[in-house]
Amino acid sequence: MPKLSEDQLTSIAQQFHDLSVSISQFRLDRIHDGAPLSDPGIVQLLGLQWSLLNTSSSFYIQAAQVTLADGDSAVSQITAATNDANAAIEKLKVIDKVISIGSAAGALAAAIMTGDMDQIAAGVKGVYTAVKR
Amino acid sequence: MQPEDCKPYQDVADRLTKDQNVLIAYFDALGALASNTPLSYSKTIDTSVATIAKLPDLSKNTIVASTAAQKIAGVLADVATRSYRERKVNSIIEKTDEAVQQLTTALKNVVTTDYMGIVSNEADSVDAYYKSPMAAARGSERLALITVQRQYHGDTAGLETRRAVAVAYGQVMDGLASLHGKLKKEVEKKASFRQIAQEIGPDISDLKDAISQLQAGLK
Repeated sequence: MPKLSEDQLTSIAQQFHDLSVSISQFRLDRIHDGAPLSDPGIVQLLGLQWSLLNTSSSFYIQAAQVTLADGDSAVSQITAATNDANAAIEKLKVIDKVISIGSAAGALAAAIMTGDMDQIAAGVKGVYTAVKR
Repeated sequence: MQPEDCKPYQDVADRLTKDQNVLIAYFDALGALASNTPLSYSKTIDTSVATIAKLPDLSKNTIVASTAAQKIAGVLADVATRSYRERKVNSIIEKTDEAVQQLTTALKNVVTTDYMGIVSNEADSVDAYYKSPMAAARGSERLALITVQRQYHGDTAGLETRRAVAVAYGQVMDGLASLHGKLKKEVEKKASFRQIAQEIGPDISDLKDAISQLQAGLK
């Protein structure tokens, strides 16, 4: 099975970076609205944001060496799911829902690292479920 | 992030530093051959190449860089052991051009794409660290806020410098690739290497200085 190409890994890295930036902006907006820094949801969002940034950096240095049977299909599914997650976060106001989407994205990243198409498909489904919930 | 999370980044940095050292040693050797000064072959190159082979495979760019660096190091060892002189330099340039092109391109890609992406992530981490406490600061915390804002601007300025250095590094690698390509063309035209060396000597020297400065700036 071929490894994901340089461009595919860079694209995945960028997707997780963008998702982290959306969560960061959402968190900042809630703080501007008056949420305290010690609010458990605000604290959790910070953890998710850092986790997604670290995930993105891992894909940039390609520590994962992901091998996939159908890289193009996987990358397009991942891109569509993370784009949907990004668009949803931009419209949301409820902290718990954004936490749910961010957590699903984290699970998707872990699934990508395994290189197992079934797990990636489940991870993608998890992101869509969190977005629609 | 835990200290052990940094290991993959350290592995990449170690590998690329060794690859880059081979590139610098190669251009040094060309300069020495051109000026007919005794060529000193550093045994650290052998050690570097042996270590490169043992490091884990990471990105495709780092693999390409290391393979190319090993080819160049092999030629360097050959040059030193057989006491090559000017008449042989032409064949060295022809033999190594492909590897030099691959190594410079790979080093450029690692720094201008992979490293730049990581710097961008780091910039977002810095934003996360500072922006929310600044947004939550109350009126009574004005002086503390000013101090934190200054610290934030200092950190972001540092990141901007690293971005600029990464861009400049890419340009230096382009310069080295182009310089070597030019040398190869001159060699094919059977020009005297001494004459070529006189023309490009200052460029090699400038590029070496730039690499040293950039290497320090990228840390």
